[in-house]
Amino acid sequence: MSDSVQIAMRHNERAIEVSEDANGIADTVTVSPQDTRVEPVKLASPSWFVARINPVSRIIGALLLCIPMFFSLDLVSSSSALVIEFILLWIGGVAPWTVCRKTWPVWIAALGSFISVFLYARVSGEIVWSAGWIVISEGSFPLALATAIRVAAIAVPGVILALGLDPTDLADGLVEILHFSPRFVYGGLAGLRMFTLLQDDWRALGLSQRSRGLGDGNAIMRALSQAFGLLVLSIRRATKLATAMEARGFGSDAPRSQARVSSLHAIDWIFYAICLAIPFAALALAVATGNWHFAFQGA
Amino acid sequence: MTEAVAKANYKWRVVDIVVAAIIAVASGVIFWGWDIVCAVPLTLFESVTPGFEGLLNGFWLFAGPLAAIIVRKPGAALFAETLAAFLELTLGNQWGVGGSLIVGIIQGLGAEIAFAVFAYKKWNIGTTLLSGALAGVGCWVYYWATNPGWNFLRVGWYLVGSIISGLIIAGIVVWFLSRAIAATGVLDRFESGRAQARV
Repeated sequence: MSDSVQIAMRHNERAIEVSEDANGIADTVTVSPQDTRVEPVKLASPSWFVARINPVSRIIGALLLCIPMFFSLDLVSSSSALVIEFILLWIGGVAPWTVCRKTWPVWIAALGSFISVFLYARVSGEIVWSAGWIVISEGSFPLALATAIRVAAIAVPGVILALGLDPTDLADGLVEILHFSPRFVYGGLAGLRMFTLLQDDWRALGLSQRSRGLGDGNAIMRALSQAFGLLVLSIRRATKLATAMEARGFGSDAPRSQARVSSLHAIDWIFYAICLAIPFAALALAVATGNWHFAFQGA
Repeated sequence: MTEAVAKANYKWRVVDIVVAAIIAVASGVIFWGWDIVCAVPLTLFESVTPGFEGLLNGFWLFAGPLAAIIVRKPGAALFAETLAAFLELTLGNQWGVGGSLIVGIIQGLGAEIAFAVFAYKKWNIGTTLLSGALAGVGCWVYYWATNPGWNFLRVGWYLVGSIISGLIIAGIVVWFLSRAIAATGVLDRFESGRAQARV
């Protein structure tokens, strides 16, 4: 927007009188000055700390956090990692009850892991009870508990770190920091951005089916046929979008300049250090107390 | 089907990228929906059966094979499965970065191998089935790593279930879905859409 237009808008921004409609009802649309407009800010993360770090760091940090945990399977390392994570998230501005509320599906998954390992674990020690497929031995309970807590310790930080992650910011980071191919990153982003459009398309497809008197039968069949229609429509849109992107020079071999700058700061490096420290502190604690158990070793 | 042998072109065009991305997005939404729908049945399967919950995996496996069979480029399966997993992750689910993104990448690699071993020249129902099955194997690898306490019976059943599920949903269904999409004429900019017209 040019400067002159902006200035003109500032002079006229008090109130815009909308002409009267047929019923003679006058609508007055009050327009507030641009700088006093309150728009709900979409939080980048529920945690003030996580919100300040680069989205790329969030993904890398989550990987650093969870990968070492795959190598250990014992109560001490898994539960201490989980406790440290809860405390650090609390310091980072996400209270434990908020964490639990936002990660409720994790706890269902952890329960599933607990039951499956409890009933079908590798036999260790005396067999306590068995029926059909089910074999419960002395080692089953601690193994199941360790697995369930480990599932939570791996998933909880991952889920919290992903909350509010902005795909556009992540794409900028992937291109500028990790030097991924901009063709693939921004092409993928273009697809992701069509997501909201697809929601409208879904509604429109449903309405147009209705207006033709279709879709009063089986709800599942209707959903399936509508889903197929949506898939075809989205491919058609994507093809058109690709042509438009190419017409604007996207995908050529010419060097690309970046409109938005994405870079790493000291806070990102602090975050990496924390993400590495958590699993290694947990593993060290387990080794020191003599409870450490390598995950892929026989019971 | 006699395949008119065109010279294999491995270079991605913009349209390949964007269409693979949109297939991934559509699949990612289904992944996420399936996360929610199957949370309870999954727990039930885990407790009542010795590993049959692998049968539920298919709905997380199909993005890679579907994108690959449509755009027919090296890396399409990995790209689509990863992007779909990423969308699933940002929509929020029970597994976080590990169980969404890492498993997605492993499944994508599995799906990719099926086409890579034929040097990206065979795009038929056979490679699609193989791709779905290998995506299932990829899923199994991750879940075994997550639950190393499972006994061999359970690990075996999980693998079998995961492969069957991959074969059906990410193999047969994906193949016929791709043919149905081609029949609508929307794939006219792709080799996969033109092969249909020649038959």
